[in-house]
Amino acid sequence: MPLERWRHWVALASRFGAPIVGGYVFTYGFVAFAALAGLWLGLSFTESKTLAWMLSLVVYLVAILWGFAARSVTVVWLVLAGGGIAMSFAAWALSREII
Amino acid sequence: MRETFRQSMAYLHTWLGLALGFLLMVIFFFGSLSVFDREIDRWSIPETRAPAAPLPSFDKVVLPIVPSVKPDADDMARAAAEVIGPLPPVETLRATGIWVGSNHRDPLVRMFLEFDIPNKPVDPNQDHGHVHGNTAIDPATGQRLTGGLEDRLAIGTRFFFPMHFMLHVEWAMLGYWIVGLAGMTMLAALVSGVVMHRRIFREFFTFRPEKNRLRSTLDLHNMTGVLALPFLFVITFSGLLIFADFYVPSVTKLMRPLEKSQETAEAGRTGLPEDPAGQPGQLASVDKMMSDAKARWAERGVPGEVGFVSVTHFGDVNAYVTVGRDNVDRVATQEEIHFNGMTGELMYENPPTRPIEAVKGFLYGLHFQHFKHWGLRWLLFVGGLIGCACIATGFLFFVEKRKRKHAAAGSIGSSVVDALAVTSVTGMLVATATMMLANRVLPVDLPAHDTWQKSIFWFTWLATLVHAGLRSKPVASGGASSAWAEQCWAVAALATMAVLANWVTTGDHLLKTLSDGYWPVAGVDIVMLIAAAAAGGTAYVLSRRSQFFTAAAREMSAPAVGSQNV
Amino acid sequence: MSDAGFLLAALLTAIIGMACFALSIDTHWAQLLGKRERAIAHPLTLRVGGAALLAIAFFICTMADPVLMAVLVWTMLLTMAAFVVALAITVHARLSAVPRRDHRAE
Repeated sequence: MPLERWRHWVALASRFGAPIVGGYVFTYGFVAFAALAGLWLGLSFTESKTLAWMLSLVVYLVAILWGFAARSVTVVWLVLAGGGIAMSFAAWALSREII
Repeated sequence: MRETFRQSMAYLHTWLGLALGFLLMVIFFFGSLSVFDREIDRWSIPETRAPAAPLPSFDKVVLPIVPSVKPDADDMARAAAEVIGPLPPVETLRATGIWVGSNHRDPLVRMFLEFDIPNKPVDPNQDHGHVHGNTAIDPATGQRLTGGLEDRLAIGTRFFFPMHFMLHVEWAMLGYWIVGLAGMTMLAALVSGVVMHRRIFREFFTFRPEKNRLRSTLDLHNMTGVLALPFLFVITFSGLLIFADFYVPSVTKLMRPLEKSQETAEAGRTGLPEDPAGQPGQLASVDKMMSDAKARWAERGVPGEVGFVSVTHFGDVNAYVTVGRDNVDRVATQEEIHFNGMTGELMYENPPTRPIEAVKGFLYGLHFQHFKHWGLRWLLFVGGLIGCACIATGFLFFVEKRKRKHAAAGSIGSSVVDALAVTSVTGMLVATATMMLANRVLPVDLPAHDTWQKSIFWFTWLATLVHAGLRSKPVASGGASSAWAEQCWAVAALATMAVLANWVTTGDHLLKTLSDGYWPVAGVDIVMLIAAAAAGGTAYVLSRRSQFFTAAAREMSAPAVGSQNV
Repeated sequence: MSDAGFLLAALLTAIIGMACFALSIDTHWAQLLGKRERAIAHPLTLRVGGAALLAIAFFICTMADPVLMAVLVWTMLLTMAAFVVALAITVHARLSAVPRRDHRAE
């Protein structure tokens, strides 16, 4: 396949991957972080997790919509995947602090 | 990414919808059927066509059956892959957890057992493993189901229902993931669909079948989507929420130590032992606990029957018994009372639900639909079918909009989409009706009776794909595929034959089931007859239209001579 | 009244409510009532009336079921009522369009 075609397919995969995969990474981090935040705000852990999962659907939905609407795919990847990894790491580290 | 937000949303709606719409069609259709899963079970296993029964005596009926139930072979295989070292032989495993329950639609008492296994899990984040076994008790005899009935395929709960949430793709739990992605696509499609709809209020009630086909298809797509929007959104949202802990397991994966300590603390608050003590103990009378629980509910102003009983740490001195109310009169499930398994004393009563858990309970409840409200049950069934109509018209619009352009450019894109749409709409119906027919026609002593039915389902579906592919050629030149009409005829014939086969093989024809008031079977028959009539009507209209178009095309291609001769 | 009676009443109320909404839209008013003057049936009046009827339908639902169940029943009834109204408008439009179409076919 000529290079042009390859470029086209990679761009297309990235266009769909950024909201879907990136959005998932963001949601993954969000759930852990939100469950921790809920606990810190005084909810029981069960409630906090439930709330995190309910919100996670909205978060993922908004991430997908924004990911398709945003002008730059790179920004979408950075914000969603970057944000998700940051939240995951923060939740991982903080949860070991407060135990 | 496109010029405007609306155009981006249209792009998302079109392409994500196209990629996952076929699966959404399947998920919505089998979800709708699962609203009546117990009824389909009765239809598919005629020996169990009996009125719904309450829970029998736990002490006299359930307990004696427990030792006879062994772990499921499939589940043993799953567990063997997840733990270190070989599993102990099945005969040596003893049940450590019991769950029995029935509901107002089920003539059988369902029983699930859990067996502890000593092996350590491969994944250190996981708790120690279990294997499971299950059976059903016939309350009329107080025995386990006999005569091979346990192995018979309950099409509603064991085939259509799992199809709804995992598509029977078990490898790496891929089916669950696909359904989850499709569910998120549905949410995104609903929101983007609202954004891209230009006249959502002005065309709220608008369907113009007399306009060109592109317009009227879009009308129907918009109307089904907009009018059923609250249902479609909430049912998709709640379905995703049920599996959210599986889809996004980050709490367990990232924060297991914290989660574990929180669980221990919460267990401490309830006073229910988290682990067995390791000493054998004799269970007190569970029947007594059940009547205690009923008395407590009556005292609190919520009188009711027992819906389920479970025993945790069965056989151990730490055993406790949970008695749950059969919540036929409400959406959410509540009211559980826990008793000490040794003394029968009350240990803990679930407090009134806090707001967040109450919302979750409501969303779960509206999706699982354990309530006794036949009007609402039918409304939700119809709601699911409206969802199917919305998805199907989406495909029709996609094809209709592009087929002439594709034909001009020599692309087969729209004919491929049309063939897939045929397969996922009428093909799915053909396969379902064939399976129902096969269920009645195949002799029950046929070896692998259940596998036969499943295989017939899958092969029929595959055949409809091949058929749709062969017939879709006209679409590539801007015409219409005759597969739609042909498969509609097939649905009409097969569904009618299934109803007749039910009559011939069981003697339960509609007049009998209706006059006996046995609605589970009468209802399935009636729905199949309505489906047959609708499919037949559609097929008739489609074939008439195609004749009309063929005649028109002939006339146009030979204008002068033709019109004089005719 | 039995629960089924309440649900039927709620459905009928919802249908009338949805019909009011439909009539508040000029296209449908013209479709159903032709050139007749709106007089007192101002779109806003119709919309307020429609909303009130839908609210009454909810109230009727709560007479048959506990509130949370009634919310579900009501939501589904609204969808069905809207379909009934849309179907009625479509059928009406078809019936009134038939002579014109026949004429064109000739």
